[in-house]
Amino acid sequence: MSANTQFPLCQLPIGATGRVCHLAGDDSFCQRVREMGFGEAALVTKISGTTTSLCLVNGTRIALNHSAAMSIVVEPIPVLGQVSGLREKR
Amino acid sequence: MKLPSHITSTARRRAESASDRTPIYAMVGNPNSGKTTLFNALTGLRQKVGNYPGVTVEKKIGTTWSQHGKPIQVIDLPGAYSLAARSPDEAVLRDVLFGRREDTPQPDRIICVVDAANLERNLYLVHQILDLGRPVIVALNMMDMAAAAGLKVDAAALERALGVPVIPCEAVHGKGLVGLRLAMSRVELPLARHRWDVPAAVAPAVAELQASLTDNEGRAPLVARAEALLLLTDFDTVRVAGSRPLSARTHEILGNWRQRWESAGTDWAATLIRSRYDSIGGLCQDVVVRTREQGPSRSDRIDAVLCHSFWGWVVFGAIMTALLFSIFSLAEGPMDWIESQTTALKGLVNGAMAAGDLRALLTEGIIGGVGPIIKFLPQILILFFFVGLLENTGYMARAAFIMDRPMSKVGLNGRSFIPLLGSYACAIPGIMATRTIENAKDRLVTILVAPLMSCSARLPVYLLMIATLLPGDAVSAGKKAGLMLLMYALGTFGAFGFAWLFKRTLFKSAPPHMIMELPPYQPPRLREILRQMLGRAWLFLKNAGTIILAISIVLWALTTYPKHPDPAATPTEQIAHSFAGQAGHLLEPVIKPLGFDWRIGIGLITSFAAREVFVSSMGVIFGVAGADENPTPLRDALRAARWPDGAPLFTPLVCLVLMIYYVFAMQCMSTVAVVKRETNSWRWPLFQIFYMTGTAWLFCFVVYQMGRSLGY
Amino acid sequence: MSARTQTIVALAIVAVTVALLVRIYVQKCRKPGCGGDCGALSPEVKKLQARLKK
Ligand SMILES: Nc1nc2c(ncn2[C@@H]2O[C@H](COP(=O)(O)OP(=O)(O)OP(=O)(O)O)[C@@H](O)[C@H]2O)c(=O)[nH]1
Ligand SMILES: [Mg+2]
Repeated sequence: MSANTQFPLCQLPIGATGRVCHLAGDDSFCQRVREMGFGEAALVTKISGTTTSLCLVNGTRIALNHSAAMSIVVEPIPVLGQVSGLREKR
Repeated sequence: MKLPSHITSTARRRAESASDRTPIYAMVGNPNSGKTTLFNALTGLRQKVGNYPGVTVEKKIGTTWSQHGKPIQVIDLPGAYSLAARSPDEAVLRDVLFGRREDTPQPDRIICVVDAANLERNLYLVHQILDLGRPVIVALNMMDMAAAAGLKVDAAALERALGVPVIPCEAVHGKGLVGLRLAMSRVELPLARHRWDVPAAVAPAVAELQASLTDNEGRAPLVARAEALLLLTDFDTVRVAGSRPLSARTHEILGNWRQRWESAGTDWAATLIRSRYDSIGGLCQDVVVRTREQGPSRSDRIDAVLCHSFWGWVVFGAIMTALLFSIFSLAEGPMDWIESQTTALKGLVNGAMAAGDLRALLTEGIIGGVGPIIKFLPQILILFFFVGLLENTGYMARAAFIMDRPMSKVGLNGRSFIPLLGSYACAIPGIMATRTIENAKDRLVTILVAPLMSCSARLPVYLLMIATLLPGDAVSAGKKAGLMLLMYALGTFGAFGFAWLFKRTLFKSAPPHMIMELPPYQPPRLREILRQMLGRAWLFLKNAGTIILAISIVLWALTTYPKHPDPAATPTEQIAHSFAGQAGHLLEPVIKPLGFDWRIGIGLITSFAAREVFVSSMGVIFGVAGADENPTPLRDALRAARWPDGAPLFTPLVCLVLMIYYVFAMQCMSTVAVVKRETNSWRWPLFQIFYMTGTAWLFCFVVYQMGRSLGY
Repeated sequence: MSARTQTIVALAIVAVTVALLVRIYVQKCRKPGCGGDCGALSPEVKKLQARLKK
């Protein structure tokens, strides 16, 4: 998967699943996001929301406001299984 | 419970020293994992439980009994995602665990409450706790939720892997309590077999810091290690290490390592977290079995509607309307009944006693003051029923979610809305709940505007004014509810407006990031809601029976003495002559531009104690005017009140202005005291009194003068 | 009951009430809150605040 398909979480379409690539934003925010299991390589599914996003991470619903969703960069996962390299756990 | 034998010996020495005194357990876990539910079940206390993160914000100590009837102390703590605290409530947890709170004994043992439906993330905190090297019991809570989500969690496997007792529970259903109590009663608890090695890149730093913390700060070795790990993940040494500053040596070591890592460009905080999660991930693989593939859950489907950018608002509006409408339509009957009872009681006393001061004290002071307040009990109950419903089902967090957008317009985020929503019930728990806000400036702004949300103490004032304004049965409940909605909206918009202003002037800061967990929906637990309602009702009655009663008696005395020289003076002349009347007259020049006379002024002064006292004061002052033999309801007495020139006092405009005054004015001593405590200075409560009451006056002035000039 | 005794009894009740009010007030000063169940009774938050202020 090429790097140019990466975009902030807020642009992930509703219903799509993405994989967290990296975290922008200040240290303390990054740390909290990682501690909540939302760090690099976590899979997120967007449930709803445009400015404020509601995501499903690891079975938990997590709400993020716009600026938080902007600082989480994800890459979309097209259809699970097509890209075998994305299968490994973390 | 079976023990791995290699562990018991390590714990023996510690356990023996602790066995002769009351052991202290701390309840620790992620927010909303059910700590307080478990705490209540163990101790029989009635701490507040709600289905959203951040219900508990202060520690609470209770006592339970061991299997052998020995007392055990349990400390309920706020939830946290990590020991690296980001907000004041998480700091409470960390400080209690590290023994930094002078008022709280350091817990000997720790109960980690873990949400089984979300094991991986919950174990992160457990992992940090195990570093502390204290005996730990893991309560694997919410097993029912895990099963519903298609997860099978193997408690025995987890127990083998961690080496500490793991007890599956369902706190709400009381399941697993026996096992938990059994584990808590054990004299010896195994220490964890903690198989986590600090990642190689960080290990030398941890070792060096640990040594320095042991030598220079006098920490116990394991605590020093845990603290070293925290120091390396959090730059703010004050936040991590408490108020005692670190020694120069430790500082130096920390600075050196920080520099070294910075020049190397590695993110070792992330490394640490990843290494913990890797170790947890391996553990979970053996413990959690997914019995079926997970599609969107029921909560996800509900959320697709309730968090929708359009339907979410429709539902939110509908809930608010239903609340206000039911306050007016459902409470009518009980209210009339209470009113007729107080009237009858008054008549009874009047008939049984000869005229005199004591009779006047009983009828005008006590019954006249407390009666009109008790009348509003049904409405308060309805309000708290709705609040309980919102808190219990999990809608509270959704309200914060939909409110995030408007909140971001004023520079706050949705998280601040939970304290604000809580302030509809009472500003004090609302202000306490701001402890969950990470950003200190945002927290202060939220504290400053929280009392603008219309709390339950304003309800009697609004209701009395609406009853006076819109007489009797001729007006539909919908119209009254509309007027009430207007007052709630005014307070809410006021809060938003001032938040906007403060964020732009006093507390400039970038819009904060928000990351908040939305819990799964739960069916409302009516027993729990009912219990909370009864608790509030009891509090309300207790307040009416103590403070309000006392203030009414004193106010009666102040309106009765000194006696008018002419015994045939009218009651109004008598009050004008009294101490209270004189004080009211002093205030009159200030409030006359708002359309208030000196008698209303007396009510404004006394209601500084609490807003609902205004109603009882009106009862004492205007109730006197009603003829002795046939007492009238307060609203009719108010409608009959006149200015000296014969013009009616409580015109519709004045009623409206009075309501607006109570929307904005800071009229609650308890709130002042709590704000002082939470902000640790007198500056902010004083500022709050000044800006809120100032706004109230200005707003009322404008409305009254405009209304007058329009001919109302 | 004569008017005079009524006045005396009433004044006595008022005096007792004032005394009780003062006592409640003093207690409130020590631990403020809305009645005890909302957890607002924490004198130690002060220290916590001082710590977090930094
Ligand atoms: N289904 C289910 N719900 C539970 C269980 N235990 C607790 N709950 C519910 O979970 C919610 C949260 O419970 P609390 O006890 O307030 O959680 P807490 O850990 O004290 O939360 P904070 O104080 O916010 O950190 C409540 O709605 C409880 O009714 C359980 O075993 N099963
Ligand atoms: Mg709790």
